[in-house]
Amino acid sequence: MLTIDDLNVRFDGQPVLEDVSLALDQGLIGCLIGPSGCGKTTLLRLVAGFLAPDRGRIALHGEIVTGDRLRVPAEQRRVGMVFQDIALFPHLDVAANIGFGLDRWSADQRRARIEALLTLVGLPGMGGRYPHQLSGGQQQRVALARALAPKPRLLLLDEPFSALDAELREQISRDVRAILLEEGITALFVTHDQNEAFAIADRVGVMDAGRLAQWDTPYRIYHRPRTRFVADFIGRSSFIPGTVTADARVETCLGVFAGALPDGAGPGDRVDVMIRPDDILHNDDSPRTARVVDRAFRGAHMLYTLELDGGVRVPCMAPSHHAHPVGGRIGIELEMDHLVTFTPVGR
Amino acid sequence: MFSSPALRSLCLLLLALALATPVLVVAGSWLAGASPNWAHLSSTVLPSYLRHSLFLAMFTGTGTLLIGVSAAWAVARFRFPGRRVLEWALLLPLACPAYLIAYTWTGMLASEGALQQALPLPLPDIRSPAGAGLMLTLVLYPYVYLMTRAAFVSQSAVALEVARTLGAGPWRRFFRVALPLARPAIIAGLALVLMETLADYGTVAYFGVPTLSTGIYRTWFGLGDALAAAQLAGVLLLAMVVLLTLERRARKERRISVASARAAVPLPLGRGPGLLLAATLWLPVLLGFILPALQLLVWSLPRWRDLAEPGFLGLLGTSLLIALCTALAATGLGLLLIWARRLRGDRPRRLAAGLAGFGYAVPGTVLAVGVVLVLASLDRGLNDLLASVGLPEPGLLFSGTLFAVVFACTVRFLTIPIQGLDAGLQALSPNLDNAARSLGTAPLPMMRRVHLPLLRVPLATSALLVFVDTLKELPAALVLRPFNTNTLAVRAFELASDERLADAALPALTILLAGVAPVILLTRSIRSPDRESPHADH
Repeated sequence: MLTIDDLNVRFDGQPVLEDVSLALDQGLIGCLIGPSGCGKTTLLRLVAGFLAPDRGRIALHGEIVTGDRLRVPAEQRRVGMVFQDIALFPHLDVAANIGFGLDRWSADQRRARIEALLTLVGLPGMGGRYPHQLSGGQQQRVALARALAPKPRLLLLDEPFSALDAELREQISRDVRAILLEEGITALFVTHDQNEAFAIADRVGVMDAGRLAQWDTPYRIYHRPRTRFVADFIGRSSFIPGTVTADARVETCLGVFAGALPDGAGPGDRVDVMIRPDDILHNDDSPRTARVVDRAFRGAHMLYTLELDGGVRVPCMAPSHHAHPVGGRIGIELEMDHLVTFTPVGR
Repeated sequence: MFSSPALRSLCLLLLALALATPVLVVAGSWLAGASPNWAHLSSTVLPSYLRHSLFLAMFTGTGTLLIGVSAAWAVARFRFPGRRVLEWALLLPLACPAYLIAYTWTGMLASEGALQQALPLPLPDIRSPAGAGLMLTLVLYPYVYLMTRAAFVSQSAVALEVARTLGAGPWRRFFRVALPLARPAIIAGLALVLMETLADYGTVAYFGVPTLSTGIYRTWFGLGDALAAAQLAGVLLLAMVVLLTLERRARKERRISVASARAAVPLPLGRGPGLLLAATLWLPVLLGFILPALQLLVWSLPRWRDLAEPGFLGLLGTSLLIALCTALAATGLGLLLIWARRLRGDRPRRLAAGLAGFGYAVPGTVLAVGVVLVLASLDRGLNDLLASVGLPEPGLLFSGTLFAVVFACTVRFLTIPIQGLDAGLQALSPNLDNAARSLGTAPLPMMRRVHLPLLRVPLATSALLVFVDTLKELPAALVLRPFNTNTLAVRAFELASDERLADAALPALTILLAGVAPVILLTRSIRSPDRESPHADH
């Protein structure tokens, strides 16, 4: 449905996007995530048609909207957008905001569509209110309804929930996923909050300094990060040193594991093994122990920072009723479903 | 690629250049080499022009600083009887063009005038350089007051409280903390005052003080030397550029130093000191507005029947027509330039908006010189062209009609809508435009459906300000009006110059009343200085 090929953008000579390509199928929800300044909002604005790339193509349903010579203006793309600052028209009431893009529809159709959308976003009967009379969450729902109203081919959302407080954000992001699925719309959104990305998206793209580091399902992004940056950025992780054995397994201070190796790694090479907090289980009966150097109470869990015998520090999530003091030793075992290895930094 | 938006940018730049031609012609007059009369001018009158202009600038600068800064400090820091009224009443003299109170005060101080009759000792001669400086000070101090008060009000209480904990007394707090913090605002206000002072024509011409501004007029119409007049205007323009640069720099600095922290609470004063302060602060309002307005009213009352006379109605009609055309032209052009820059902020469009906004630095006399030079050659060219193809010559289509006055005033006041609409548009999120476009709205419908409704207030305000300023404009109208056509300002000035002070009162009072309208607008904006936009609550 949405195909992006080899996009390149420079601002004042500085590369902002480099060789970005991705594909999003009809009806799926994609999410771009990355630190600020990584180019994710720029990518969204290119798809909307507010910006032109230096090189590359963007196609919707196989129709090229941004190409070498061609640039379909934003107003002719039928791509809806929800903005970070919400940007409702302050001089129009809710119904007129939602109906803004429906000026070519008949009055009856327009009225019916506005009613349907107000119901869909959970604001029935609020059409006569003005934006400043609504709460932040309500404004965001109206902005979503406004973007959905003309039945766009693709919906873009630029950090749509960042203006809302944390509690509201979770609720709304769940609602938005339900609404998008009900409308059967393809959507691409941008966030810097990975929980939000995982809650809504079918596909997640992690951006790193203008490049798309990985474009994959949320599960694979978390468990099979393709680069060290993705592993670092998504979830907590740490790395322990390992050595490739003769039978292409990896030997570490926590045991020997089998799995994918970095390209070109052979027996005897050193690799870094990614450890997630949930990979290390706390087990008082385990013969293998580590020293507690720090602990943080997280309600249901206690997040320990442990020092292994080689001096390497790893995180460990344990049920919070296991309270071990800092400086003490606790028994641990490694339970790793997937071995993720990287070439050590500096090589 | 030769795209049409780039072509449109070029057209906008050409439009701005066309609006700037009068200024460019004046600035470029030096390229032709000094006028033959220049040596004569510089050995005779030029030193006197420069000396008087400099004297006026220093007199008015000092006077407006004293009144403006102390009034701003008093109103911003102390609580005393009548403070809320004084807050805006101190702005009232802004409604008076200086030439109006100059002739009103002349009448009041005249030997047969009411004031001289009531006082036993002889009053000093007001028709002197110092008198002109006093008149200018009385009507121009509100610029300093307005800017400085805003700075004092926005200063956070913390800075003053810190100074207090460090043992600074009230005077030390004022001179060491509050004043330096407000310096950019004070400089911006002072620069405006000096620009108005150097640009003033009516007051100094009426008092017979030879300055650069009247010198331009005399060189042209007395000496008949347009080149020397243009070159003299170039000297004045140079001073304006310096002042404008000063003002722009101060304004930039001010943007950085505005504090959003808790504002200081005004201190209550005792009854005696409070009343004394209030009485002192009413003095400039009394001298700069109330007394002259009353005098004009007294002169006008016996002549109220003149209101229906064709003579007065003709003046009123001409003035309103010029002011209305100028208001529409300036607001329309300002909207075009600013809106085009928002759609696409490329270099030609940014340059166009900046170039078109330069006119307010140009005194009316300077502008008049430039406009005559430009429009007269335009007329000549047009007549030659039509004659060469055998068509009847249209005569002075541009320079000999009201078009010249409207054009000059449009160039001079275009900066008002440019700044007003720029601020208005900048307050709107760029994502409003993006939202409208992603909903399928092309630029022109977007202007109609989104921008125009949201810019109603700045559009109306700009149009009103231009309207009133045009109504008050004297020198450009004096030079550029067609034969046998008069405006209220020109007629009031002519009658006053002929010592028919009372006859001048009715047109003068009309101008004064029109001038109160923008002051009311200003008071509304200072009443609630930290009012937030009603839509910024998410």
